[in-house]
Amino acid sequence: MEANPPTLAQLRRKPHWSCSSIGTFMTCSLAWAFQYVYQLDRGSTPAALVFGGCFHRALGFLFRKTSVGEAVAREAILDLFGDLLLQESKLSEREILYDDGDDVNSLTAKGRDMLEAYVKDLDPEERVLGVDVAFSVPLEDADGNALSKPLIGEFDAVVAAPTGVEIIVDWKTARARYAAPYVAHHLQPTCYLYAHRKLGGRDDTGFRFDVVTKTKTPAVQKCPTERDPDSSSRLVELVRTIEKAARHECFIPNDQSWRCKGCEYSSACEAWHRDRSRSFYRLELVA
Amino acid sequence: MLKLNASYSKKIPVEGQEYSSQSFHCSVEVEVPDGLSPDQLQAKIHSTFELVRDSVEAELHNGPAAHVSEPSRAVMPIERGCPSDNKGNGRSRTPQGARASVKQIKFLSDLALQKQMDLRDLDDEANRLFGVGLDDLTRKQASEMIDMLNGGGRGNRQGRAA
Repeated sequence: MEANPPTLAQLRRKPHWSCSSIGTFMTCSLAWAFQYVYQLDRGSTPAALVFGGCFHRALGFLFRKTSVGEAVAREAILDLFGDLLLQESKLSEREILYDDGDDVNSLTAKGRDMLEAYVKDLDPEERVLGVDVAFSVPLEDADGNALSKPLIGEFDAVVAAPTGVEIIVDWKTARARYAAPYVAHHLQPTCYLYAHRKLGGRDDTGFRFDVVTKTKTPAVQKCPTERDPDSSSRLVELVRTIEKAARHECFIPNDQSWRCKGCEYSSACEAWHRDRSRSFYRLELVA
Repeated sequence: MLKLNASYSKKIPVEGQEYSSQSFHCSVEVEVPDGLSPDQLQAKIHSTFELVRDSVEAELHNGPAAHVSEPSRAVMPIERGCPSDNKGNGRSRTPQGARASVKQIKFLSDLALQKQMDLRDLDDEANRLFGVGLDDLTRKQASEMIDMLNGGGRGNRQGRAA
């Protein structure tokens, strides 16, 4: 392990691919282009994104403490979440878009309930091995040919199960439980397990989504999943094909996407077929 | 293709030498996409200038620190106190100087969490060191705190209990 490995923020400064970038392209290549190529101003931020970020930061704090054997009062974590959310609401560079009936107070209460449910559900037998572990690995196909940009990302946490098996954990807040097919085909375990193997991790390392639902009574759902080596080859081919599409500026709207509702780029998208005057491509920075 | 030039220079006295100063200057030229609205152009100018200014200030206080603004994008002004379209979350000047930027405060908060301090610890620390809360730090004070949390400077402390 490097003494001072680069942080995700540092890795982001160089051209790269990330799981969220690849996922965005898969969902809507035009939204991807607006974000990563044309770099349009998003204007606003969905409250769910801010909420999820604060939830993650609070859990990161808890897991860091746990990793060094320090106990943290449950109330302290709940308070930290509230403090972070309040700070975000005051400092956010963009307007935060709340769903109907929500505001910072209602989200604070909701987040506290969700954190409480998650903390209660933690397995005391699991050991925390790492928190916010950033990575950068080459995207190489089965023949060893690497794409021009690496895959970067960050494991929320790495834990050791009582059996000794390592598990990469990703925290999620969601409206509802994850369905099994969704987990089985999700891009994130594919990317993260690929990266873990590239970094010399054990083949038996697992991946788990720890999902906490935003339902009235929050539910905690732990969704372990695995990927076979062929999924890695598929991932690299997928990114290679995306690169080709990007080079040829093949970006098309996905008008039936779930992403359309509340999309930050809806006005640019509506004008897309009329506006062919884009001239500011920064393809070297696409990520 | 439009081009945008932004530059910032600052002179500071040389410690221990009267009538002597050092000048720091930075300028960048960036290309701006065609077809931006006046608001978008203004935001681009603002973010570019801020990048240059923050880079100079960061060099003065810290060297190439991680809290320098990230590469410019057409973002809304991050400086509280600047004309803003939506939130009016302005950061005014204090008698001691310009208030810490939003990015500095957020960076400080993340750094503190990594060092296992929560926001209340961080606020206490700001009060202990500078007599003001986190929200009222100046740019210079925030830079000092970032240095401290990164392991240098006065009053470095890590691993406080939550």
